[in-house]
Amino acid sequence: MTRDVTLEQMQHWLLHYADQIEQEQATLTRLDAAIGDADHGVNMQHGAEKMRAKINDLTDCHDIDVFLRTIAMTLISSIGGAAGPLYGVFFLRASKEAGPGDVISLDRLAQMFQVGLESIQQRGHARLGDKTMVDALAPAVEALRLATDAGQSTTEALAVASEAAEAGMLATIDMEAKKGRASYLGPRSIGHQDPGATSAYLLVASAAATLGN
Amino acid sequence: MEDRNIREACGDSSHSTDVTVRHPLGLHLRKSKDVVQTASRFQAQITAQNLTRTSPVVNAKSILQLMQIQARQGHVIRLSAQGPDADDALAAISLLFDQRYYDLPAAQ
Amino acid sequence: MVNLVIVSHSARLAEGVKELAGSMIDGDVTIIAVGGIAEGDDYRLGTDPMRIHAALEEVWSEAGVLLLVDLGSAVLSATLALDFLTPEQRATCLISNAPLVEGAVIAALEAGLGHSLEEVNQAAEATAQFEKIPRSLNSY
Repeated sequence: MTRDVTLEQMQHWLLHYADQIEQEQATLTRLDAAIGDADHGVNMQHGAEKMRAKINDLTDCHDIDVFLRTIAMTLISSIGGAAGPLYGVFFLRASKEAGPGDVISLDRLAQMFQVGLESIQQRGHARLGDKTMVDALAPAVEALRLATDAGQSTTEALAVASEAAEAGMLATIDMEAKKGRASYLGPRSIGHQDPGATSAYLLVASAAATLGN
Repeated sequence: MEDRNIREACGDSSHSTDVTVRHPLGLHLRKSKDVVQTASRFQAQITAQNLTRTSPVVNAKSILQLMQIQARQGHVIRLSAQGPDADDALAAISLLFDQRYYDLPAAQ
Repeated sequence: MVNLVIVSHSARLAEGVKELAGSMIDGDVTIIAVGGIAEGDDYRLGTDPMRIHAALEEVWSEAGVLLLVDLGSAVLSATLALDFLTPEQRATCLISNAPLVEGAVIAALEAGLGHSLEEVNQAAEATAQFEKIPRSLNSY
């Protein structure tokens, strides 16, 4: 059982994520129309297109940190809404944590998700329960850490992380939004799934689908 | 009373003059800008009051305060200055309200 | 002189605010408009931290740079752009809490008068309290 993650897998991860965003664009738009300004799907779609083109161009990249930093810059410049800076800092901090080289340990991957989550929380001033992407990412990060420390395989660890992200995403339905445009609605935001938590869940689900072995 | 003592101690003189707003748009943003920029070139403390509206006395070096006196066409503004160059300041600002030079509607 | 960076989700709005604020300048103040997300030859709605960063690099001076932003994620994008600056540059850049149009117009005037970054920002932010139809004065 190998517990390493390679650069090639990471490229597959984010290409898969771009596909997921495109498939779910209408859903993201519909969710954002209910409590936001209906642009999350379109914004993420633009980010996904640019990200896919960038990955396909980056044929002579041999370091995970360079790869992730390039992804960060691409998302920052192409998404346009709050998700741009937020996914951007996630990958920027993850890139620093990953360091150079074309392979990292599962433990390092878990750490990457941890620091990435922290940077999103710092940047967006969002806490657990505020009905944001944090509500999907935080449970995933915790599950990934526990499974990694328990010695599970990459596949197993990311599977439980993905389940935790999905549960966190669904839990946003009953939450009242405290951040972003949705917070203007106050209690009327209750009953709607958060679009940011949904795209964040897709990121973890894509990792589970591609980074295992 | 205290003010007068300070003024006398500094050897400053206080002056004022009244001007009438002639422009159809009143003391509009661009004109206010000209007043502030002109006033800022002098050391004197310069104030403006819209006598027609009995507005508060405001600092003529502050665009925000000047706009708050809401001077419309025909309103009379009292300009007061205090300081070594008070006379020159009032002369320069008054000129901005002289319709021979300013406030002419644009030629069609 | 303090320079200004106008950040809007709309490229045309940013340019328009720049045009309006530019009419207030009596001095050597530079204003850069950063609006929208580049898409081909045109722009769609959004804010791009990298372009804001490039604008900051271009107009930075020791006197400082005031950023005037429109809504929502413009703040997040501007904050991220600031974090890409050197600590020395970062120290004299400020995101204003002012309303975009009123703030930019007043900031341009104040910057042109040679006022400090703090003074320029204070004047810009004070426009949030500015009554367009003053209730304190007699009406017509």
